[in-house]
Amino acid sequence: MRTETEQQVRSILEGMPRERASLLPALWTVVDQMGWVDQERMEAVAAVLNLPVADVYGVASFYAMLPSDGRTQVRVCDDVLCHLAGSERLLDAVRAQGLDAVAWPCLGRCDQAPAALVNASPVVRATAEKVQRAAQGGE
Amino acid sequence: MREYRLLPPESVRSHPASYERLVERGFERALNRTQSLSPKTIIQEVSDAGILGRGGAAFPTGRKWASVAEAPFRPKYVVMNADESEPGTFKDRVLLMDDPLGALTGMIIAARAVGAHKGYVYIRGEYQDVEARVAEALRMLETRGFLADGLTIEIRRGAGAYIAGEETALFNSIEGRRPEPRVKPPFPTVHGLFGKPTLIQNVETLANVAVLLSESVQWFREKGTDRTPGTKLVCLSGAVQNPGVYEVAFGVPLKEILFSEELGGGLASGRALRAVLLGGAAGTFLTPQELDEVQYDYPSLRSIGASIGSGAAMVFDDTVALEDVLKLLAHFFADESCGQCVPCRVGTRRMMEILESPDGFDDAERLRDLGRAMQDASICGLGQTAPLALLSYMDRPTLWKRSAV
Repeated sequence: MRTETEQQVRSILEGMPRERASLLPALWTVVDQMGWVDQERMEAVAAVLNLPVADVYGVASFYAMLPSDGRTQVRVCDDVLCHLAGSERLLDAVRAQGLDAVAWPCLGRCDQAPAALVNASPVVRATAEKVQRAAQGGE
Repeated sequence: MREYRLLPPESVRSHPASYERLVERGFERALNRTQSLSPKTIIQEVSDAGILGRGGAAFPTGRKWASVAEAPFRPKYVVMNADESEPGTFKDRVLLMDDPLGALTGMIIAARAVGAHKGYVYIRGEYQDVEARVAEALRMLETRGFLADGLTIEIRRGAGAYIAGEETALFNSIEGRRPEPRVKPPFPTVHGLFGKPTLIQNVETLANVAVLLSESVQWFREKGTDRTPGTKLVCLSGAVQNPGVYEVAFGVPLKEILFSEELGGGLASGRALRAVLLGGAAGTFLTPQELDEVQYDYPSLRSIGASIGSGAAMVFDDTVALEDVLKLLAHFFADESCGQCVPCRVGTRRMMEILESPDGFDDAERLRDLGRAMQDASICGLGQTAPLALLSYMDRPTLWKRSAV
Protein backbone atom coordinates (compact mmCIF):
# COMPACT_ATOMS: atom_id res chain seq x y z
CA MET A 1 0.00 0.00 0.00
CA ARG A 2 1.39 3.35 -0.97
CA THR A 3 0.37 6.41 0.94
CA GLU A 4 -0.76 9.49 -0.89
CA THR A 5 2.46 11.25 0.13
CA GLU A 6 4.56 8.46 -1.28
CA GLN A 7 2.69 8.54 -4.58
CA GLN A 8 3.18 12.28 -4.79
CA VAL A 9 6.90 12.04 -4.00
CA ARG A 10 7.25 9.15 -6.44
CA SER A 11 5.79 11.23 -9.23
CA ILE A 12 7.97 14.29 -8.62
CA LEU A 13 11.11 12.13 -8.41
CA GLU A 14 10.21 10.37 -11.66
CA GLY A 15 13.30 9.83 -13.77
CA MET A 16 15.78 10.40 -10.97
CA PRO A 17 18.26 7.52 -10.70
CA ARG A 18 17.34 5.23 -7.80
CA GLU A 19 20.64 5.41 -6.02
CA ARG A 20 22.12 6.86 -2.90
CA ALA A 21 23.80 9.70 -4.82
CA SER A 22 20.33 11.01 -5.70
CA LEU A 23 19.47 11.62 -2.05
CA LEU A 24 20.31 15.29 -1.64
CA PRO A 25 18.88 16.32 -5.03
CA ALA A 26 15.76 14.29 -4.16
CA LEU A 27 15.35 16.10 -0.85
CA TRP A 28 15.77 19.45 -2.59
CA THR A 29 13.29 18.48 -5.31
CA VAL A 30 10.72 17.67 -2.62
CA VAL A 31 11.39 21.04 -0.98
CA ASP A 32 11.25 22.93 -4.28
CA GLN A 33 8.00 21.29 -5.42
CA MET A 34 6.18 20.60 -2.16
CA GLY A 35 7.56 23.35 0.08
CA TRP A 36 9.26 21.32 2.78
CA VAL A 37 10.46 17.87 3.76
CA ASP A 38 9.07 16.38 6.99
CA GLN A 39 9.28 12.89 8.48
CA GLU A 40 6.55 11.47 6.27
CA ARG A 41 8.14 12.83 3.12
CA MET A 42 11.56 11.52 4.19
CA GLU A 43 10.00 8.08 4.51
CA ALA A 44 8.58 8.49 1.03
CA VAL A 45 11.98 9.53 -0.36
CA ALA A 46 13.50 6.47 1.32
CA ALA A 47 10.90 4.21 -0.30
CA VAL A 48 11.36 5.74 -3.74
CA LEU A 49 15.18 5.60 -3.66
CA ASN A 50 15.25 2.21 -1.93
CA LEU A 51 17.20 3.49 1.06
CA PRO A 52 16.77 2.86 4.78
CA VAL A 53 14.68 5.61 6.40
CA ALA A 54 17.42 6.02 9.02
CA ASP A 55 19.95 6.90 6.32
CA VAL A 56 17.64 9.47 4.76
CA TYR A 57 16.97 11.00 8.16
CA GLY A 58 20.68 10.90 9.06
CA VAL A 59 21.57 12.86 5.94
CA ALA A 60 18.60 15.24 5.91
CA SER A 61 19.06 16.19 9.56
CA PHE A 62 22.73 17.06 8.99
CA TYR A 63 21.77 19.94 6.72
CA ALA A 64 20.45 23.07 8.33
CA MET A 65 18.74 24.47 5.25
CA LEU A 66 16.08 21.88 4.44
CA PRO A 67 12.82 23.25 5.85
CA SER A 68 10.63 20.83 7.81
CA ASP A 69 7.50 22.97 7.57
CA GLY A 70 5.94 25.54 5.30
CA ARG A 71 6.81 28.71 7.17
CA THR A 72 8.66 31.48 5.34
CA GLN A 73 12.35 30.88 6.01
CA VAL A 74 14.00 34.06 7.22
CA ARG A 75 17.71 33.84 7.97
CA VAL A 76 19.73 36.75 9.28
CA CYS A 77 23.51 36.40 9.02
CA ASP A 78 25.16 36.83 12.41
CA ASP A 79 28.79 36.31 11.49
CA VAL A 80 31.62 38.77 11.95
CA LEU A 81 30.95 41.49 9.39
CA CYS A 82 27.17 41.37 9.62
CA HIS A 83 27.39 41.34 13.40
CA LEU A 84 29.51 44.49 13.32
CA ALA A 85 26.96 45.99 10.93
CA GLY A 86 24.17 45.50 13.46
CA SER A 87 22.74 42.04 12.72
CA GLU A 88 21.59 41.56 16.32
CA ARG A 89 19.38 44.64 16.14
CA LEU A 90 18.19 43.58 12.70
CA LEU A 91 17.21 40.13 13.96
CA ASP A 92 15.26 41.67 16.85
CA ALA A 93 13.52 44.11 14.52
CA VAL A 94 12.61 41.37 12.05
CA ARG A 95 11.18 39.26 14.85
CA ALA A 96 9.27 42.25 16.21
CA GLN A 97 7.47 42.35 12.86
CA GLY A 98 6.19 38.87 13.52
CA LEU A 99 8.56 36.97 11.25
CA ASP A 100 10.03 33.76 12.57
CA ALA A 101 13.66 34.61 11.82
CA VAL A 102 16.76 32.69 12.81
CA ALA A 103 20.41 33.71 13.10
CA TRP A 104 22.47 32.05 10.37
CA PRO A 105 26.17 31.50 9.73
CA CYS A 106 27.95 33.58 7.09
CA LEU A 107 25.82 34.12 3.98
CA GLY A 108 28.82 35.17 1.88
CA ARG A 109 27.67 38.76 1.40
CA CYS A 110 30.05 40.45 3.82
CA ASP A 111 30.62 43.32 1.38
CA GLN A 112 26.94 44.26 1.65
CA ALA A 113 26.41 43.67 5.37
CA PRO A 114 24.12 43.07 7.08
CA ALA A 115 22.71 40.28 4.93
CA ALA A 116 19.61 38.13 5.19
CA LEU A 117 18.04 35.36 3.19
CA VAL A 118 14.27 35.10 2.75
CA ASN A 119 13.57 31.63 1.44
CA ALA A 120 16.06 31.57 -1.45
CA SER A 121 16.23 35.35 -1.99
CA PRO A 122 19.16 37.32 -0.63
CA VAL A 123 18.50 40.68 1.02
CA VAL A 124 21.62 42.86 1.23
CA ARG A 125 22.26 45.97 3.31
CA ALA A 126 19.23 44.57 5.01
CA THR A 127 16.73 46.46 7.10
CA ALA A 128 13.67 45.03 8.81
CA GLU A 129 11.55 46.73 6.13
CA LYS A 130 13.49 45.18 3.26
CA VAL A 131 13.24 41.76 4.87
CA GLN A 132 9.51 42.23 5.41
CA ARG A 133 9.03 43.22 1.78
CA ALA A 134 10.95 40.16 0.57
CA ALA A 135 8.88 37.92 2.86
CA GLN A 136 5.62 39.37 1.52
CA GLY A 137 6.80 39.19 -2.07
CA GLY A 138 7.66 35.54 -1.62
CA GLU A 139 4.20 34.50 -0.48
CA MET B 1 46.56 48.51 -9.66
CA ARG B 2 43.17 47.01 -10.40
CA GLU B 3 43.34 44.14 -12.87
CA TYR B 4 40.69 42.65 -15.13
CA ARG B 5 41.39 39.10 -16.14
CA LEU B 6 39.14 36.84 -14.13
CA LEU B 7 36.61 39.61 -13.67
CA PRO B 8 35.39 41.21 -16.89
CA PRO B 9 36.12 44.91 -17.35
CA GLU B 10 33.16 47.30 -17.39
CA SER B 11 33.35 47.54 -21.17
CA VAL B 12 32.09 43.96 -21.39
CA ARG B 13 28.33 44.37 -21.66
CA SER B 14 27.07 41.06 -23.02
CA HIS B 15 24.86 38.89 -20.84
CA PRO B 16 27.14 36.86 -18.51
CA ALA B 17 25.68 33.49 -19.55
CA SER B 18 25.43 34.19 -23.29
CA TYR B 19 27.33 32.85 -26.28
CA GLU B 20 28.32 36.45 -27.08
CA ARG B 21 30.07 36.58 -23.71
CA LEU B 22 31.86 33.31 -24.42
CA VAL B 23 33.27 34.83 -27.59
CA GLU B 24 33.93 38.28 -26.12
CA ARG B 25 35.97 36.88 -23.24
CA GLY B 26 38.03 34.57 -25.45
CA PHE B 27 36.67 31.42 -23.83
CA GLU B 28 35.38 30.03 -27.12
CA ARG B 29 38.93 30.33 -28.42
CA ALA B 30 40.21 28.47 -25.35
CA LEU B 31 37.67 25.67 -25.83
CA ASN B 32 38.39 25.29 -29.53
CA ARG B 33 42.13 25.45 -29.05
CA THR B 34 42.22 22.81 -26.33
CA GLN B 35 40.14 20.46 -28.50
CA SER B 36 43.15 20.16 -30.79
CA LEU B 37 45.71 19.87 -27.97
CA SER B 38 46.65 16.59 -26.33
CA PRO B 39 45.81 16.25 -22.64
CA LYS B 40 49.54 16.17 -21.95
CA THR B 41 50.09 19.50 -23.68
CA ILE B 42 47.22 21.13 -21.78
CA ILE B 43 48.62 19.94 -18.46
CA GLN B 44 52.07 21.17 -19.46
CA GLU B 45 50.68 24.65 -20.15
CA VAL B 46 48.86 24.74 -16.82
CA SER B 47 52.08 23.67 -15.08
CA ASP B 48 54.22 26.17 -16.97
CA ALA B 49 51.83 28.99 -16.14
CA GLY B 50 52.47 28.28 -12.45
CA ILE B 51 48.83 28.46 -11.37
CA LEU B 52 48.39 27.71 -7.67
CA GLY B 53 45.03 26.56 -6.33
CA ARG B 54 42.90 29.51 -5.25
CA GLY B 55 40.71 27.79 -2.67
CA GLY B 56 43.20 28.38 0.12
CA ALA B 57 45.81 25.63 -0.01
CA ALA B 58 47.75 27.06 -3.00
CA PHE B 59 48.66 23.61 -4.32
CA PRO B 60 50.26 23.67 -7.81
CA THR B 61 47.35 23.09 -10.21
CA GLY B 62 49.38 21.44 -12.95
CA ARG B 63 50.76 18.86 -10.55
CA LYS B 64 47.26 18.03 -9.35
CA TRP B 65 46.03 17.56 -12.92
CA ALA B 66 48.98 15.32 -13.77
CA SER B 67 48.29 13.20 -10.72
CA VAL B 68 44.63 12.65 -11.70
CA ALA B 69 45.56 12.04 -15.34
CA GLU B 70 48.13 9.40 -14.35
CA ALA B 71 45.88 7.61 -11.84
CA PRO B 72 45.13 4.16 -13.26
CA PHE B 73 41.47 3.83 -12.22
CA ARG B 74 38.31 4.79 -14.11
CA PRO B 75 35.97 6.54 -14.38
CA LYS B 76 37.44 9.87 -13.34
CA TYR B 77 35.56 12.89 -12.09
CA VAL B 78 36.02 16.62 -12.11
CA VAL B 79 34.39 18.78 -9.45
CA MET B 80 34.06 22.55 -9.18
CA ASN B 81 33.97 23.54 -5.54
CA ALA B 82 31.60 26.51 -5.28
CA ASP B 83 30.56 25.74 -1.72
CA GLU B 84 31.93 29.06 -0.59
CA SER B 85 30.85 29.83 2.93
CA GLU B 86 32.95 31.41 5.60
CA PRO B 87 33.16 34.83 7.20
CA GLY B 88 34.90 37.31 4.92
CA THR B 89 34.96 35.16 1.77
CA PHE B 90 32.62 35.92 -1.14
CA LYS B 91 34.75 36.03 -4.30
CA ASP B 92 33.31 32.91 -5.95
CA ARG B 93 29.81 34.34 -5.68
CA VAL B 94 30.87 37.50 -7.50
CA LEU B 95 32.95 35.61 -10.06
CA LEU B 96 30.15 33.17 -10.91
CA MET B 97 27.52 35.92 -11.10
CA ASP B 98 29.63 38.25 -13.24
CA ASP B 99 31.36 35.70 -15.46
CA PRO B 100 30.14 32.12 -15.00
CA LEU B 101 31.53 30.98 -18.35
CA GLY B 102 35.15 31.36 -17.23
CA ALA B 103 35.03 28.75 -14.49
CA LEU B 104 32.85 26.45 -16.61
CA THR B 105 35.28 26.74 -19.52
CA GLY B 106 38.14 25.86 -17.16
CA MET B 107 36.15 22.87 -15.96
CA ILE B 108 35.51 21.55 -19.48
CA ILE B 109 39.22 21.90 -20.27
CA ALA B 110 40.12 20.18 -16.99
CA ALA B 111 37.83 17.26 -17.80
CA ARG B 112 39.53 16.79 -21.16
CA ALA B 113 43.01 17.05 -19.61
CA VAL B 114 42.45 14.43 -16.91
CA GLY B 115 40.11 12.17 -18.88
CA ALA B 116 36.89 12.75 -16.95
CA HIS B 117 33.46 12.40 -18.57
CA LYS B 118 31.37 13.45 -15.62
CA GLY B 119 31.58 16.71 -13.72
CA TYR B 120 29.82 18.24 -10.74
CA VAL B 121 29.45 21.88 -9.80
CA TYR B 122 28.73 22.00 -6.08
CA ILE B 123 27.15 25.31 -5.02
CA ARG B 124 26.02 26.17 -1.52
CA GLY B 125 22.27 26.33 -0.94
CA GLU B 126 22.49 29.95 0.19
CA TYR B 127 23.62 30.91 -3.34
CA GLN B 128 20.55 29.92 -5.35
CA ASP B 129 20.77 33.13 -7.35
CA VAL B 130 24.28 32.09 -8.34
CA GLU B 131 23.12 28.56 -9.07
CA ALA B 132 20.51 29.88 -11.51
CA ARG B 133 23.17 31.89 -13.33
CA VAL B 134 25.52 28.90 -13.58
CA ALA B 135 22.68 26.68 -14.78
CA GLU B 136 21.86 29.17 -17.53
CA ALA B 137 25.51 29.32 -18.63
CA LEU B 138 25.78 25.53 -18.58
CA ARG B 139 22.63 25.14 -20.72
CA MET B 140 24.08 27.50 -23.29
CA LEU B 141 27.34 25.51 -23.43
CA GLU B 142 25.41 22.25 -23.79
CA THR B 143 23.12 23.59 -26.50
CA ARG B 144 26.07 24.90 -28.49
CA GLY B 145 27.90 21.59 -28.24
CA PHE B 146 30.85 22.72 -26.13
CA LEU B 147 30.58 19.71 -23.81
CA ALA B 148 32.55 17.44 -26.10
CA ASP B 149 33.53 13.76 -25.76
CA GLY B 150 30.34 12.77 -23.92
CA LEU B 151 31.04 15.05 -20.97
CA THR B 152 28.07 15.76 -18.71
CA ILE B 153 28.09 18.34 -15.94
CA GLU B 154 25.60 18.27 -13.11
CA ILE B 155 24.92 21.05 -10.64
CA ARG B 156 24.61 19.98 -7.01
CA ARG B 157 23.07 22.27 -4.40
CA GLY B 158 24.41 22.22 -0.84
CA ALA B 159 22.02 22.65 2.05
CA GLY B 160 23.58 24.77 4.75
CA ALA B 161 26.63 22.89 5.96
CA TYR B 162 29.92 24.80 5.91
CA ILE B 163 31.88 21.57 6.31
CA ALA B 164 30.59 20.31 2.94
CA GLY B 165 33.11 22.68 1.35
CA GLU B 166 35.95 20.48 2.64
CA GLU B 167 36.79 18.43 -0.43
CA THR B 168 36.24 14.93 0.94
CA ALA B 169 33.09 16.01 2.81
CA LEU B 170 31.87 17.41 -0.49
CA PHE B 171 32.35 13.98 -2.10
CA ASN B 172 30.29 12.40 0.67
CA SER B 173 27.60 15.01 0.08
CA ILE B 174 27.42 14.20 -3.63
CA GLU B 175 27.37 10.47 -2.81
CA GLY B 176 24.28 11.01 -0.64
CA ARG B 177 26.06 10.56 2.68
CA ARG B 178 26.49 12.90 5.60
CA PRO B 179 29.09 15.48 4.58
CA GLU B 180 31.74 14.44 7.07
CA PRO B 181 35.37 14.71 5.96
CA ARG B 182 37.39 11.59 5.24
CA VAL B 183 40.87 10.87 6.53
CA LYS B 184 43.58 11.81 4.03
CA PRO B 185 45.53 10.09 2.54
CA PRO B 186 44.32 8.62 0.25
CA PHE B 187 44.02 11.90 -1.61
CA PRO B 188 41.20 12.78 -4.00
CA THR B 189 43.52 12.57 -7.01
CA VAL B 190 43.58 8.78 -6.61
CA HIS B 191 40.62 8.03 -4.34
CA GLY B 192 38.00 10.77 -4.50
CA LEU B 193 34.37 10.88 -5.52
CA PHE B 194 32.85 7.35 -5.50
CA GLY B 195 36.37 6.14 -4.65
CA LYS B 196 37.65 7.17 -8.08
CA PRO B 197 40.39 9.62 -9.16
CA THR B 198 38.88 13.08 -8.87
CA LEU B 199 40.04 16.54 -9.78
CA ILE B 200 38.44 19.01 -7.41
CA GLN B 201 39.18 22.70 -7.89
CA ASN B 202 38.00 26.01 -6.58
CA VAL B 203 35.95 28.25 -8.90
CA GLU B 204 38.70 30.85 -9.20
CA THR B 205 41.35 28.26 -10.10
CA LEU B 206 39.25 27.05 -13.02
CA ALA B 207 38.64 30.62 -14.17
CA ASN B 208 42.41 31.08 -14.27
CA VAL B 209 42.70 28.03 -16.51
CA ALA B 210 40.19 29.56 -18.91
CA VAL B 211 42.01 32.89 -19.22
CA LEU B 212 45.36 31.13 -19.52
CA LEU B 213 44.25 28.88 -22.38
CA SER B 214 42.52 31.69 -24.21
CA GLU B 215 45.90 33.45 -24.30
CA SER B 216 49.32 31.92 -23.59
CA VAL B 217 51.69 30.97 -20.80
CA GLN B 218 53.83 34.00 -21.55
CA TRP B 219 50.83 36.32 -21.36
CA PHE B 220 49.67 34.69 -18.13
CA ARG B 221 53.03 35.21 -16.44
CA GLU B 222 53.17 38.90 -17.32
CA LYS B 223 51.21 39.65 -14.16
CA GLY B 224 52.16 38.65 -10.67
CA THR B 225 55.53 37.47 -9.43
CA ASP B 226 57.89 34.87 -10.82
CA ARG B 227 56.97 32.37 -8.12
CA THR B 228 53.27 33.25 -8.07
CA PRO B 229 52.23 34.34 -11.54
CA GLY B 230 48.83 35.80 -12.30
CA THR B 231 46.16 37.65 -10.42
CA LYS B 232 44.09 37.04 -7.29
CA LEU B 233 40.58 37.98 -6.29
CA VAL B 234 40.55 39.74 -2.96
CA CYS B 235 37.41 39.95 -0.81
CA LEU B 236 37.58 43.27 0.99
CA SER B 237 35.13 43.76 3.80
CA GLY B 238 34.69 45.75 6.98
CA ALA B 239 35.90 49.28 7.65
CA VAL B 240 36.98 50.30 4.15
CA GLN B 241 35.19 52.84 1.96
CA ASN B 242 34.59 50.37 -0.88
CA PRO B 243 34.05 46.80 0.29
CA GLY B 244 33.87 44.32 -2.56
CA VAL B 245 35.79 41.88 -4.71
CA TYR B 246 38.88 43.22 -6.48
CA GLU B 247 41.39 41.59 -8.76
CA VAL B 248 45.06 42.40 -8.16
CA ALA B 249 48.38 41.01 -9.37
CA PHE B 250 50.28 38.89 -6.86
CA GLY B 251 53.05 40.91 -5.25
CA VAL B 252 51.32 44.28 -4.91
CA PRO B 253 51.85 46.00 -1.55
CA LEU B 254 49.10 44.77 0.75
CA LYS B 255 48.54 48.28 2.02
CA GLU B 256 47.60 49.44 -1.48
CA ILE B 257 44.71 46.99 -1.60
CA LEU B 258 43.16 48.73 1.38
CA PHE B 259 44.06 52.29 0.57
CA SER B 260 44.25 52.68 -3.21
CA GLU B 261 41.42 54.84 -4.56
CA GLU B 262 40.41 52.26 -7.17
CA LEU B 263 40.39 49.47 -4.57
CA GLY B 264 39.45 49.76 -0.89
CA GLY B 265 39.61 53.53 -0.87
CA GLY B 266 40.94 53.76 2.68
CA LEU B 267 39.09 53.61 5.92
CA ALA B 268 35.60 54.92 6.31
CA SER B 269 35.00 58.09 8.28
CA GLY B 270 38.64 58.86 9.06
CA ARG B 271 39.01 56.10 11.63
CA ALA B 272 42.33 54.52 12.55
CA LEU B 273 43.18 50.98 11.48
CA ARG B 274 43.27 48.39 14.24
CA ALA B 275 43.95 45.17 12.34
CA VAL B 276 43.33 43.18 9.18
CA LEU B 277 42.25 39.56 9.38
CA LEU B 278 43.89 38.12 6.29
CA GLY B 279 43.05 34.80 4.65
CA GLY B 280 39.60 34.04 6.07
CA ALA B 281 37.99 32.96 9.31
CA ALA B 282 41.07 30.83 9.97
CA GLY B 283 43.40 33.61 8.85
CA THR B 284 45.99 35.78 10.54
CA PHE B 285 45.50 39.12 12.27
CA LEU B 286 47.99 41.66 10.98
CA THR B 287 48.96 44.84 12.80
CA PRO B 288 48.97 48.17 10.92
CA GLN B 289 52.76 48.03 10.97
CA GLU B 290 52.89 44.56 9.41
CA LEU B 291 50.43 45.72 6.81
CA ASP B 292 52.88 48.41 5.73
CA GLU B 293 55.71 45.95 5.26
CA VAL B 294 54.35 43.10 3.17
CA GLN B 295 53.41 42.30 -0.39
CA TYR B 296 50.38 40.27 -1.36
CA ASP B 297 52.32 37.12 -2.19
CA TYR B 298 53.04 33.83 -0.41
CA PRO B 299 56.75 34.28 0.43
CA SER B 300 56.31 37.81 1.76
CA LEU B 301 53.28 36.90 3.86
CA ARG B 302 54.97 33.74 5.13
CA SER B 303 57.68 35.89 6.67
CA ILE B 304 55.10 37.25 9.11
CA GLY B 305 53.26 33.97 9.56
CA ALA B 306 50.35 34.87 7.30
CA SER B 307 48.92 33.54 4.06
CA ILE B 308 46.56 34.55 1.28
CA GLY B 309 44.10 31.81 2.14
CA SER B 310 40.82 32.27 0.36
CA GLY B 311 41.60 35.88 -0.51
CA ALA B 312 39.67 37.41 2.36
CA ALA B 313 40.79 40.66 3.96
CA MET B 314 38.55 41.78 6.81
CA VAL B 315 39.40 45.27 7.94
CA PHE B 316 38.76 46.41 11.50
CA ASP B 317 39.05 49.99 12.70
CA ASP B 318 39.62 51.25 16.22
CA THR B 319 35.93 51.04 17.13
CA VAL B 320 36.12 47.25 17.01
CA ALA B 321 37.42 45.10 19.86
CA LEU B 322 39.20 42.14 18.30
CA GLU B 323 38.20 40.07 21.31
CA ASP B 324 34.61 40.35 20.11
CA VAL B 325 35.64 39.29 16.63
CA LEU B 326 37.44 36.26 18.07
CA LYS B 327 34.37 35.26 20.04
CA LEU B 328 32.28 35.43 16.87
CA LEU B 329 34.82 33.33 14.98
CA ALA B 330 34.92 30.79 17.81
CA HIS B 331 31.14 30.62 17.69
CA PHE B 332 31.25 30.06 13.94
CA PHE B 333 33.66 27.12 14.19
CA ALA B 334 31.85 25.54 17.14
CA ASP B 335 28.63 25.80 15.14
CA GLU B 336 30.10 24.38 11.95
CA SER B 337 32.22 21.55 13.38
CA CYS B 338 30.66 18.37 12.02
CA GLY B 339 31.23 16.56 15.31
CA GLN B 340 32.98 13.57 13.81
CA CYS B 341 36.34 13.91 15.61
CA VAL B 342 36.92 14.82 19.24
CA PRO B 343 39.69 17.45 18.93
CA CYS B 344 37.46 19.59 16.73
CA ARG B 345 34.05 18.83 18.24
CA VAL B 346 35.19 19.42 21.81
CA GLY B 347 38.02 21.82 21.00
CA THR B 348 35.95 24.38 19.12
CA ARG B 349 33.38 24.36 21.91
CA ARG B 350 35.95 24.71 24.72
CA MET B 351 37.62 27.52 22.82
CA MET B 352 34.34 29.38 22.57
CA GLU B 353 33.58 28.81 26.26
CA ILE B 354 37.00 29.98 27.40
CA LEU B 355 36.84 33.12 25.26
CA GLU B 356 33.36 33.94 26.54
CA SER B 357 34.28 33.46 30.19
CA PRO B 358 35.47 36.45 32.23
CA ASP B 359 39.22 36.95 31.77
CA GLY B 360 39.22 33.99 29.38
CA PHE B 361 41.75 35.70 27.14
CA ASP B 362 44.22 35.73 30.04
CA ASP B 363 44.29 31.94 30.09
CA ALA B 364 47.00 31.92 27.45
CA GLU B 365 48.62 28.63 28.31
CA ARG B 366 45.36 26.72 28.17
CA LEU B 367 44.33 28.36 24.91
CA ARG B 368 47.67 27.53 23.31
CA ASP B 369 47.52 23.92 24.51
CA LEU B 370 44.02 23.56 23.17
CA GLY B 371 44.99 25.17 19.88
CA ARG B 372 47.95 22.83 19.45
CA ALA B 373 45.84 19.75 20.17
CA MET B 374 43.27 20.85 17.59
CA GLN B 375 45.95 21.58 14.99
CA ASP B 376 47.69 18.25 15.55
CA ALA B 377 44.80 15.87 15.93
CA SER B 378 41.76 17.09 13.97
CA ILE B 379 40.78 15.07 10.90
CA CYS B 380 40.29 17.99 8.54
CA GLY B 381 41.20 21.57 7.89
CA LEU B 382 38.32 22.98 9.90
CA GLY B 383 39.60 21.79 13.28
CA GLN B 384 43.23 22.13 12.27
CA THR B 385 42.88 25.79 11.39
CA ALA B 386 40.11 26.95 13.72
CA PRO B 387 42.61 28.23 16.34
CA LEU B 388 44.82 30.12 13.87
CA ALA B 389 43.24 33.57 14.12
CA LEU B 390 43.27 33.40 17.92
CA LEU B 391 46.90 32.26 18.03
CA SER B 392 47.93 35.06 15.66
CA TYR B 393 46.21 37.56 17.95
CA MET B 394 47.93 36.11 21.01
CA ASP B 395 51.28 36.52 19.28
CA ARG B 396 50.65 40.24 18.72
CA PRO B 397 50.31 42.05 22.07
CA THR B 398 49.78 45.42 20.39
CA LEU B 399 46.39 44.14 19.23
CA TRP B 400 45.19 43.35 22.74
CA LYS B 401 42.47 45.43 24.23
CA ARG B 402 44.40 46.20 27.40
CA SER B 403 47.23 47.75 25.46
CA ALA B 404 44.90 49.60 23.12
CA VAL B 405 43.03 51.31 25.94
